Amino acid sequence: MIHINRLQIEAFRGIKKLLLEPQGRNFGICGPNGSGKSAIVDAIEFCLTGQITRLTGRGRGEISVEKHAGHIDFKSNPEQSRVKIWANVPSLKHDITLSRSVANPAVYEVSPDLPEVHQLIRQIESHPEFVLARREVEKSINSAPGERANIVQTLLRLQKIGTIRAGFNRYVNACKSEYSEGKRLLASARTEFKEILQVSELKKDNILTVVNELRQKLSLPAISRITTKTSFLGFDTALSRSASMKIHDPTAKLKTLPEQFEDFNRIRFSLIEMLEELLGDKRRLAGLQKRYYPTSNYRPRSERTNRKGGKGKVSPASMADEEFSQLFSEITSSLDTFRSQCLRLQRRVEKPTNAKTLSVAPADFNELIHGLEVYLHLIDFGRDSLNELLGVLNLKWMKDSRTRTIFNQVATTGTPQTETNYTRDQAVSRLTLIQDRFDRYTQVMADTNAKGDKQKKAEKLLAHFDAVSSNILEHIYDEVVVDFAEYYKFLNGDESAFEGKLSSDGGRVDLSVDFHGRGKFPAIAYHSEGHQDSMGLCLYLALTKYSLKENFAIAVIDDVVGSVDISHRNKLCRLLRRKFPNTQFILTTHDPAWYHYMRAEGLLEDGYVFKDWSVEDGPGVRRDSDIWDAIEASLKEDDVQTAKTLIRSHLAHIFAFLSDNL
Amino acid sequence: MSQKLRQSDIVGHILDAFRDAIVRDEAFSSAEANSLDQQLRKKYPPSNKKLDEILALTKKPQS
Repeated sequence: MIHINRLQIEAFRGIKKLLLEPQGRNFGICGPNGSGKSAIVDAIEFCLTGQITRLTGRGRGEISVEKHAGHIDFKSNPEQSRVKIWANVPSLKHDITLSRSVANPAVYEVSPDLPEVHQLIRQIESHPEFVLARREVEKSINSAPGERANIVQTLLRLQKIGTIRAGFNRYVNACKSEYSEGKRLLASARTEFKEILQVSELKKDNILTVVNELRQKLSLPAISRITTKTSFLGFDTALSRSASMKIHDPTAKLKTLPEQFEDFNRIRFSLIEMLEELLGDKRRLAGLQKRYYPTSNYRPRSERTNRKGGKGKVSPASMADEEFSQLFSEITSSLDTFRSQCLRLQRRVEKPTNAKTLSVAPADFNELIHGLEVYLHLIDFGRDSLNELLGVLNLKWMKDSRTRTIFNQVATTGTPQTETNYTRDQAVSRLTLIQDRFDRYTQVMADTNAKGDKQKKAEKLLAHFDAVSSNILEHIYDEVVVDFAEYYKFLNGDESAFEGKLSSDGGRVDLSVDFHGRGKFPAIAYHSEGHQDSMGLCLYLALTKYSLKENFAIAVIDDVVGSVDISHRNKLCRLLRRKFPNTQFILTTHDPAWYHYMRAEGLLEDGYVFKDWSVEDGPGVRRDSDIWDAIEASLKEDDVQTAKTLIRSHLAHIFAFLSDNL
Repeated sequence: MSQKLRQSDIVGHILDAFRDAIVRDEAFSSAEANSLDQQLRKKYPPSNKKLDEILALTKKPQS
């Protein structure tokens, strides 16, 4: 680290041009708010690190060093906004000059151009903690444990730990979010699966009951186990899905239906032709009417009436000739054949199909069959009887083209248009849906379980990281807190038993402190604001000492000690002088009394008083070599009020100082 | 902890201890621990995607 001998500022922040020459000594800057004190702090930080803490970080948005560090009148010429430091480097035992321009903050010019000097600059760049502002002091005490962890780790240059932890934490949160979404999808998939099964509880037995009922309708064997590879439509659960659809087809017999219907029609048309021909042939009709000769099965109505219960045979001799006998036989035989065909067709339609959706139903055959039977029983070849017979041979459904179409459809597709098919296909459809939802359910379950495992792993990563980092950090904190307590006790003699404890818990750093021997409590619980401020300063000093060790050569403390009351000011001055004799302190304050107190205590070996700042000229700066010179200068400017304040505060400090040292 | 690292390298200490803890945990393989360690030393923190890859969790879950 370095001690600043000279500081030259050009067109930077609120300063047009300024040269300060502290010569490696502690120095103070005193001035009212807005007089440009903090610009000095910014200039030192910028020159040493290329950064300005006040312009970066949370809530700074588009503010940047490049755009906003230069003087506002030099916005278009950032290369003219420069800071240069002449410094002594105790560790190198020689002086260096270092400068940077706002135009390119990352690039510095250093002389001498030696590797060890560049290494020093890189080291300083990585340790911006030599600048301490009041807000950091307040935050280190008042902030939540998570934010305090950031402050402490920044001071210890352990931001990597926080960054790595934040990365793991982010990963855990992402995993939790994924798992949560997975569980939501799983609940949805479970509900859908239950809905298709129509069960209230998703148990193996419930699933098997539903599935096996459906499989039974498809003449498939029952299954007894369920795995993620189960095929509900397959014969064997071990079979692959592609081999699963070998289902017995009960409609195979229906494939002959069109042929049977063709036979039915062929015989029907032949009969119609025969009967129409007979109706048009008076001779043959009359001959048949005259000579009808009932067989043992077919007796004329008159004869049956006349010879009730008798089985008498008609003599073949009553036949007029062979022609009528043949014709009679041909007609009755055709009618018998047709009747048999009708019955077969009726059975086909009835068994196995119940042709609800066909235009012909089993019942439709009844009229035909009944008509045929009546005629065969009562055959008399009367015109009315024959016309009646022709009527039943020409029933509407027989002539309807849809009947043929439907028979063909049934035969070719085994369509679901029959009730049996409908039931079967419903079963196939439902099993397919069950399979689909089962597959989705098992897939989502596997995905969700994997997400759960991932979350557990992520949480383990974070837990391991927290455990090892807390363990190591607590050892460091234990060292830090010894110095912290020592500094605090130095400042506050009434708390001789004061102890502190910094404890690390994951991303948190808890600070608990002793309160007058009554136990350890959070720092903000019982101590006054002034005590909290001094705790913050002590913690900063202890952490920075741990972090920089012998390199803690410079500390720029911006308006930090204002809240220290008069009774503790001398102790603070002595603390800084005694505990950090090799550190160059640069302190700013808006309080002239406090400034002069530090001067009187010998903490500040040099000083500058800022006032009357303007955009055009920056601050009016007066080197403050002696308080009486300052009083005289004020009187020369006819500023009696300032002179009066200086005398009063200086005398107050002198008497306080004398009293303290009695 | 590894003796190779300087005492002042606190982050290095923590990373060493972290890798050792991961190796001891049966939930992680030594390949995962080493890969994680390399990533943390190379780039921190690793992205979520990289962590998925390291922990072999990008594979499709087995049904």
